[in-house]
Amino acid sequence: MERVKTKTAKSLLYLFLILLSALCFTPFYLMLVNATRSGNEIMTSFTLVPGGSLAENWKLVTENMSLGRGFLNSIFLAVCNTVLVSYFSALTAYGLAYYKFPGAKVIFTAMLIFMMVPSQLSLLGFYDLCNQLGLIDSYIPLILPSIATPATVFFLRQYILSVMPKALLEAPRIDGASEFKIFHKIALPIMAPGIATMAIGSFIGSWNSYLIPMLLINSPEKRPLPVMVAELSAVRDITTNLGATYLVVAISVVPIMIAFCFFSKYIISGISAGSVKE
Amino acid sequence: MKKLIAIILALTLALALVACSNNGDSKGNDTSSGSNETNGNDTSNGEDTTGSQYKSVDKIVLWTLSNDLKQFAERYTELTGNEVEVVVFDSADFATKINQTLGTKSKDVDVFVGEPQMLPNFFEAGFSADLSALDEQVKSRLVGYTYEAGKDADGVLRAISYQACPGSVIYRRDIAKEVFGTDDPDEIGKLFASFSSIEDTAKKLQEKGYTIFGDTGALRWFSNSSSPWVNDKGEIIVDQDRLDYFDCAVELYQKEYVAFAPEWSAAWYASMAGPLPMHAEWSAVDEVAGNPTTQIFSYVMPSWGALIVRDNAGDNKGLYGVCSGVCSFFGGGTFLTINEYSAHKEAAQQFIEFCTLDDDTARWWLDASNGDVVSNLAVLEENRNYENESFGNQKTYDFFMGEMDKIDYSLVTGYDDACKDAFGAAIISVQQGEATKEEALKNFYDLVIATYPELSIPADAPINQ
Repeated sequence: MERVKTKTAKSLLYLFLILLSALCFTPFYLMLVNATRSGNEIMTSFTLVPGGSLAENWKLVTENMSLGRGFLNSIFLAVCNTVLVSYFSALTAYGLAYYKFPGAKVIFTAMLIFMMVPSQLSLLGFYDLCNQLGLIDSYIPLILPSIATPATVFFLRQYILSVMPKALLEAPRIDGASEFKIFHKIALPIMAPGIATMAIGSFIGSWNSYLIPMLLINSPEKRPLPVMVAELSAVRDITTNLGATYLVVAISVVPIMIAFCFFSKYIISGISAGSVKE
Repeated sequence: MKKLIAIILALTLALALVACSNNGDSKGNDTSSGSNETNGNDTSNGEDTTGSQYKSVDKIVLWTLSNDLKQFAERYTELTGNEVEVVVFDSADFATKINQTLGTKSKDVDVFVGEPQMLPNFFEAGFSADLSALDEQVKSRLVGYTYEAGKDADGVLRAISYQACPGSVIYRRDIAKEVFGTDDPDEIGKLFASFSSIEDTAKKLQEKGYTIFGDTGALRWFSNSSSPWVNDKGEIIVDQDRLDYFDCAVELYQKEYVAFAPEWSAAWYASMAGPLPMHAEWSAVDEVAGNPTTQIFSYVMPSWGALIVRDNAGDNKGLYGVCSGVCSFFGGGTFLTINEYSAHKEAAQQFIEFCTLDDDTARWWLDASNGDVVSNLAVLEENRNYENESFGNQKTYDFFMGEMDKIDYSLVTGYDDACKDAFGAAIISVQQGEATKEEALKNFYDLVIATYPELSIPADAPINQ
């Protein structure tokens, strides 16, 4: 009797999960299907069967944009952003969590306040600043600000406080390790799962970012992928280019999936390991 | 560390894959079916052109909204050796980009484009350089309304267009013959001559199972028929014609004379090639397949809309005709203007001259774009007698030229978009039974005045009677 009960419960659970994953997967699948159909077909009908216009769409894409260049730009920006966010946020979070110094509280509060200001608000000022500094049409304003990401710092500070007891730092200190060495050898590996979580977010955020690159970048060859996609959908009447746009979007999702696969593995292994075994 | 290396390797691999396939696949795809005929890319007619009148100048940067000007730039480079870097932006963000960049007096762009409704803002902000050196030429050689639209509030010419986009009613000749016994554009034009005749026409069409428009939004193009939306005294004008427009839109809606397939919806596109289900709204055609079907008789759109109908006509190709409606109108069009802060104004002006005032360019573009209506009067005149196969051998250029002459630019004001939107919203609220006509009109005035507090309601307004 008991066994039957768990079996029905389990099958219900699985059914629910299958439904959920179908729900998540369908829009994605539709995007793939639409990537193989002509703009006209997409506008006029709806189907789950792939069409025959993949080659035509691909031709439109290669004719109208330099996909490889856009990919390179986007990957460069996303990787730089992710590395900077991960390292410097971890460093700041570690400092705020384990060092007692005057003003630590003030800094932390200031960060919390900045977290609540939407970035769109500072857009105009940011543009003017970049303009005054002569940084329009350059990657510096797209990469450098990621060193200071209050939300990530906040998350990592809370995270490290919960996973790493202070005693763990005393051992290397007694053995004579420098403070940076302690951070690199002890704190960073322990924070890795938290960092990975934040890194996924920042990678995807940077990969998808559109407004700021659109405003700051003027040269076509420096544009990241999302700005190029917008250009592609603009170059011709929407009916002719819709399929091609879907195709580029479908292709541009690939790196995100790769990044996600790798990082999520990292998170799971990190969470199940942990520093202090109980 | 190993994992980090793995990630980097994976990304490089993905990158390499994409980069390789990017180059390798551009050949051998010519088998694609149904390629669109508007995308003609042949950049020359073979004839000798007058490249010599152009000086060798610095490279300029052009910001635009579509690929059209890329073709112009390629041809310009080919003929003159001067370089133009064309950057295309999505139209949704274009005004933001221009405002941001030129707001800081940037020299990064030399020439940028604008649609008629964007231009007044650009002029007012001081972004567009004075082009009055070309005033005489533009006035005498280009379509009149484009000259008017390119002038700022003080009458200084600041933008020039290579296109003209006069409006038209695009109708189905076969349905016209069946229901009205003729497909002559003059005769069909009479059916659309006033809002009351449109109601009659719609009724007759419905009796035969057809619908007159996709939805009542088509009528909005006729909202400037007799007086401007705002007069010299700053009063919002709702004259008898606008009230007729209001009543007509409500009548067509309530009696189901339209197919309820809004412009740009999937069903609307599908309707150009054949029957469609009623009440499709924004859903895909398959989803509403059970609804009774109908065919749409006509579309009201500027000249570029006629090309959209032509390109989506499918089996109905050649069955369309164009005629005039309640009034002549225009919509859209790409205007070129020079950045006030540009360091290459001379080069920029030369490129604009090439695009707009060169007869050879206009001749070439008319061909390369496969039917765009150019703004060059001489070239339009040359094509006046061209019989357009896609429109049942109608002389479409002749028709569009006639329409352009009838456009009354003095009826255009900077408040038009806001007024039209608010009036449209008022109509919808009555159609859907949310408000009475009086309430809706009051809401219309309130909405416009909330947007533009300097405007007022005249004493003889319909709501005061």
